[in-house]
Amino acid sequence: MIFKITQEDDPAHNMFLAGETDYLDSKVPPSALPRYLREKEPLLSTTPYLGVYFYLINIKSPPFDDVRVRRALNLAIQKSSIGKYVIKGGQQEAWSIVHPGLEDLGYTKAQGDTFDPDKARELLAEAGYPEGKGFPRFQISYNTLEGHKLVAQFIQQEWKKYLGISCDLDNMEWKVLLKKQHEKDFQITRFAWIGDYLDPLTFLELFEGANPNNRCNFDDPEFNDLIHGSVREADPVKRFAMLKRAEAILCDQLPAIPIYYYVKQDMMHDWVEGYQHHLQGVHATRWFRVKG
Amino acid sequence: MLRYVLRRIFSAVLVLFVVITASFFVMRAAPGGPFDGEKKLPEEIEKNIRAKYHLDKPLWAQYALQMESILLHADFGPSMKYPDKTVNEILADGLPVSMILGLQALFFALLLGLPAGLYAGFKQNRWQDYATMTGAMAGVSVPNFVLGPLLVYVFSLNFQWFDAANWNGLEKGLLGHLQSSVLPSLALGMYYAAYIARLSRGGMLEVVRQDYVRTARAKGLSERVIITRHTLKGAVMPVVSYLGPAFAGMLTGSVVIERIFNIPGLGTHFVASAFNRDYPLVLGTIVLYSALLVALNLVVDILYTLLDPRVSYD
Repeated sequence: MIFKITQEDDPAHNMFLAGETDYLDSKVPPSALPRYLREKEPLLSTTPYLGVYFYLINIKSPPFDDVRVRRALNLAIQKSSIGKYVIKGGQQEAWSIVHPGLEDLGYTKAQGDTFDPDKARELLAEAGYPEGKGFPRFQISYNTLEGHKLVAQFIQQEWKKYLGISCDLDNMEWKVLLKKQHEKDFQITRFAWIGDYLDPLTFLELFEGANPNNRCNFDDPEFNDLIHGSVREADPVKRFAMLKRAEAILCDQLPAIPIYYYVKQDMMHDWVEGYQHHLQGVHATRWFRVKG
Repeated sequence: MLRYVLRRIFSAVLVLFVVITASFFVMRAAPGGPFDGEKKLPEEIEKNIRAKYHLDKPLWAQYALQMESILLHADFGPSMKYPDKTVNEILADGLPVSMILGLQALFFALLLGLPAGLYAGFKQNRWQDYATMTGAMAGVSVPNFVLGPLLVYVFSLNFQWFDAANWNGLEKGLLGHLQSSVLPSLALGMYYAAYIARLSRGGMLEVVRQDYVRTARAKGLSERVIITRHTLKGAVMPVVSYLGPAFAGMLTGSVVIERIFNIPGLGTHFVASAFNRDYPLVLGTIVLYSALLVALNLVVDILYTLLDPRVSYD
């Protein structure tokens, strides 16, 4: 088996189309995807991928220290549109932080709020900003990439449309964004997490108070206890119940607005067989065969 | 002449020194560091890594160390992004590829541009002239990130004559090499071909109006002799002076082409190292490119004296 490594999507995709390669691992260019999905391209496979895209909120920075504001922001985004009409890659809307693919392990996800602009306006009014009046202008920080820009523009419009609040988009180089996030120097920022292992904890531990990857100042004693307890709990049923409770706390407190769950798009010619789906994208290449 | 060359070499060293110093400090002033990632490293580990690369030392000490390593040992040190490789190794891997790509593109540019321009100049204000110059205008206007994918679409995906994105070294034979390198060389060289066509047309127009060409005609020499013996050398002068900057432009401008055709040259590192904050690799690529630019300009200036007897540096 020969592996060809490319930096960009397009050369990999071209090599696949020219028949120089048999299998294209996830490098389907975003420009080609909408057409493939629309025309139900038979060579394309779309499968769930253990990653979640979310907007971190700096919960110590007013007005985002008010949980009603955070919930209003979450309720006012029609997330189902993102995978269909915004980035058009078939991504699945997310309302809680753990990837649903992990339910195959017996985990039951906590249910978060879902799209409800009326409730969002009510909560914002309760927080002291009826129709968005008096709400300070704020910034969404993201790293420069077309997909991130499209999502940010969409969310900016949703918040303007349903809540009457305005924000600016601030794009920057990846390393600059990382530095800002580590220093907690942001109001709302794009972030994503690809699960390191097949367990809900891989997403939940990000919000434990002392975790070095916790970038949003979230530090909830009950949440921390559940995370610490889950590590010591030997009974898998009890353990998942603890993690579900922890996920529910995130749904209530919303230190991060879940946006979408990742999917992985691969392409393979019809002469390839033996492909097996894996939530982490680890495809056992030893089973790949070229027919004939 | 020798004194002139020595003086130019001395000033080149000065230029490189300023380039190294400026890029060293500008790079360090950029926010974020080479070891900032999505996952924050545990503090002790980060401390160890920073110590290994001397990043824990004050900036002036880092600068002194880097300078010493470059000046005394011509060593840029280990890459911070690719820990199993030194910067020198990365440059040694990428430079020949970029050079071959650049030279082929230059070859295409001259092969297409020079005859077209001379011909157009010779047929001034006739349809051949207009047709060639329209083509040249198109060549200058179409950016290589449009031309590249277009060539791939037509010649790789439809006709399947060339590889879509690949780079075969000469070890795969000349045919194998050409199959993978013709399209990127064309895409890279097209702009320069068009520019060379315009330059050589201008050069030709200037020369055919010279007294000595009129004299040659008056003597009754054939058009062929007039062109080959009396006008050609003068007409290509503007092209010669452009060759240095053109080749340098192809080397540094191959970034886009290398990405489109997945070519393992230097261009990719040139951009990616800055985004990765791979300080030694940034410095290595910048110094290499600057040295090439300076050297190419010098070569062109020397070539000039050989082609044009009126130019002298003594």
